[in-house]
Amino acid sequence: MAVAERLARVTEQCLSALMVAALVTMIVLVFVNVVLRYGFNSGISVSVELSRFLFVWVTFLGAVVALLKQQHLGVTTLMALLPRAVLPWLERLVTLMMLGCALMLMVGAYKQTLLNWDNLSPISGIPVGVFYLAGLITGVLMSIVLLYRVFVPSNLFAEPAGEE
Amino acid sequence: MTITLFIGSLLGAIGLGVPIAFALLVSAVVLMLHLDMFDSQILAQNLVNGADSYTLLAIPFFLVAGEVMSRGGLSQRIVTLAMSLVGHRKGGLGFVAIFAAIIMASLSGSAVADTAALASMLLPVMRKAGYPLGRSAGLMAAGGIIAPIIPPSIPLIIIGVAGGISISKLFLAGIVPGLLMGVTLVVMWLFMTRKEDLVVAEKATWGERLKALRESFWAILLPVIIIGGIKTGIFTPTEAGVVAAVYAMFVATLVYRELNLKQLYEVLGLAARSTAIVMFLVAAAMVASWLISIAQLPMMVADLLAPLADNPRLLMLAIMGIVLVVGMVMDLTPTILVLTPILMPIVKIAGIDPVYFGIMFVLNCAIGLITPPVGNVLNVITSVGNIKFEKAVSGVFPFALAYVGILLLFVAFPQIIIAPMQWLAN
Amino acid sequence: GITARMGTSLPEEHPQTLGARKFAELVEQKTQGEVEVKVFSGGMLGNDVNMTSMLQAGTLAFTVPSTATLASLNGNFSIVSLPFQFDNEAHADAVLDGEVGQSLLRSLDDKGLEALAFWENGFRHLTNSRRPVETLEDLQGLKVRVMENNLYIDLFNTLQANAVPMPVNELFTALETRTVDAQENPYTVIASKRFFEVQPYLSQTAHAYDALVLLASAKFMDQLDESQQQAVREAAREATLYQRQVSRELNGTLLQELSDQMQVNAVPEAERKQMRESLAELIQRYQASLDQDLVTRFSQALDASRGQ
Ligand code: NA
Ligand code: NA
Repeated sequence: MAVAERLARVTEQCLSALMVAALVTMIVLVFVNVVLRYGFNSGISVSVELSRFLFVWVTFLGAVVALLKQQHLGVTTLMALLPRAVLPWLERLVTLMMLGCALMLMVGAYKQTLLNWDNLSPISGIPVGVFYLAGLITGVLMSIVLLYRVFVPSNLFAEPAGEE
Repeated sequence: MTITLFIGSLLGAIGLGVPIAFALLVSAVVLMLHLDMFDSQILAQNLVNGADSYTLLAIPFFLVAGEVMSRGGLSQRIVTLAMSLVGHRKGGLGFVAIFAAIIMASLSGSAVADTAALASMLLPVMRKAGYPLGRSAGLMAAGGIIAPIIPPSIPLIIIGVAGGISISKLFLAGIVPGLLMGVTLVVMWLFMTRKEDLVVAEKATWGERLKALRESFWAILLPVIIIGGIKTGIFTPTEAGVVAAVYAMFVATLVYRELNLKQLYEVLGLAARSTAIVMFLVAAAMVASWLISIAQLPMMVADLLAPLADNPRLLMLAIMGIVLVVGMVMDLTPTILVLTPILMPIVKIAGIDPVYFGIMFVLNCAIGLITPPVGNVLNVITSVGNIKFEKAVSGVFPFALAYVGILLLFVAFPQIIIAPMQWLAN
Repeated sequence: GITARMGTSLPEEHPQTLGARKFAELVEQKTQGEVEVKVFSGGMLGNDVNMTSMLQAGTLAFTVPSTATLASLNGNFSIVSLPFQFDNEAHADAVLDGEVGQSLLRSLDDKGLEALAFWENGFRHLTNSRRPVETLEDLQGLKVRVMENNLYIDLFNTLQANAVPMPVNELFTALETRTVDAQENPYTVIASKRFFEVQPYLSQTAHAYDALVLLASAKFMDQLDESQQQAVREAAREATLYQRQVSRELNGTLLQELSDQMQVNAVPEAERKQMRESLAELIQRYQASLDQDLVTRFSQALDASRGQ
């Protein structure tokens, strides 16, 4: 239990650091491009493509972090009406549905990564498969987290977070 | 049949407590099975393609700008400025809240963040000055939802991408209705505090006002840069976002010096996570929307609403009714993501201006943020203000009703939104 | 029966989608209704890159991307997009329908795709909000939006313009607010995307020819029996004739309509020649990166069918 929690915390911190690095790179790339266009009538042509890559990675890695911290937006009002005894079973059912989605993401993204590995993006030359690799890694990480939660329910509805 | 299946599975999953992003994926899988085309690659492809958008890069950028501003002392200075200008009037703190809400709306794109910042600064002061707590909290919540209407606005970016509407035009079109929301609040607050006996602050001297203005100058310059930059074509909305982010970081770390590197790292981490939560939702909605298209659901809805297509006003009224009901139980972003692809075709057939439609849609969903049973801005105000949910609901009720009133006004007279937008776009 | 889904990236009234509708009708007719093709236009199902990848995965049956998009799957496709090489539409038909064009189509066989035919997007022309472009010098410093593609970026930078790669969905707004000055596309796209509302000048540069490729998913084709496959291929051949005809007719009538909305100017042949000469080095560099045998055969085909 404690090991799992520590593992989750470390994963979360590593992913967060990666996300911040990617976010800062995106800001620099796009900002420098605006400055170059106005100040020097030129630009970095890879800027758009590279920032899109980073954006997809931030989205997918962040989705794992949000899953770990149970921050994905949801509605828990109806839950409160149910008898407490049902909750652990309901929680397992919800986790199973999410696990199904995560597994589909994993399998689908794996096929797409292979399919698009020698498909090169036109400007930077980075394989398009790198986009799908983000989906694959997210699918794997989410599946692990959710599989763990099927066996060890972790009070899914502990902190309903509201983000917009 | 297909519609029932889609909506039923979506609402069913949400009702059970499945996070909305995953519920959208579940409903997409149900549609796949219904259409006999189950394939994990459909989910993976559209999820990845949904997140792959240069336009939506504006979201993390504006989120960074907003977070940096509230943590870096910009919001505080705006409240100080408002206090020095209108704090001495009868019911003055209410006007301070409205004034600050409008300025902050033009700096940030998120209602929840704005409400939290406003309420944490002003609600304790109002409580101490003897203002009725429920009403004050209600005003703060109503002021907070001006944020998604006045640019920059994350919901306007999302509806722009989901509905293929020009984001620059949406931004320019949001200014007037956003200001009208502010005016509505002012009129109502005047009326409400007419008879109350309240402690008023001492009138600030011109010297104090000038000082407050000078200190908040850097914050107030930002909307000028964003709106001016988009209007003159110096940058696209995405680039406006990055300029806002860089500018906010510059002001918070180097001018105001209220954010050190460690705090900046935390703020960036927070913004990255908020980005991921919104974007994963957007991406999941793309999976659902791909299957909605394949199932030809928008055509079915268009057929259903076809009798109203000859009368755009009546159609608008019907759509606004639907959105209002959905918005009461669902959050702003998912409502936009689910309904836009379904409604856009009929809106185009009826010849309704898509920019006008986008503003109306977001305004309507924003009202949903302050209505029970599910209202994120209400949640924020209850937790920040430490008051009962019922009290916040009754406090916000008159303002929500007034907003529905202006919504109806805009249905009757679309020109109130369209005319200034056309003027600003030229 | 079998349901096939087909996606296009351009609007309903564009020849890409018009051709797709004709193709759908012909497939249904030729299979006696056994195969039904549903067309989803205007990028409803994704952009060209997304949809091509869906074909490979078998989640979509048909789509019609441009050769520029296919260059990321097989770099050799960029040979079609090289500037100033086709004299007119007939010239393009002769090369693309000839042996070298067909071998290019077959080169996608190992990518899970069956390329059925070349369709037409048309000759690309320049529109802008600054001035009529009549000479090479007029291009200088113009901020030109280009597709996200190295060839086009290098092309306009070599012509002393400032190439700004940008996704097409941001383009109208960027032109309207003058974030960029110019864009380049065939008349059909200029008309269907309503660029004439925000761009006063149209210069007939015809700097490149844009071909589309009608693609089928190999996974989908495998589901069909032999006679159905033949019917699809036949439908593709017939639809191709129709699509090209519609594209050419529309390009003619649209030029008329556009000249009511914009100031249209011809670019003198001498100036076009000068532009081509300043691009000679760039063209050589790109050719060097492609399959040499293909480059030779393509050049021979270009020469052989010139002026026929
Ligand atoms: Na705003
Ligand atoms: Na609500």
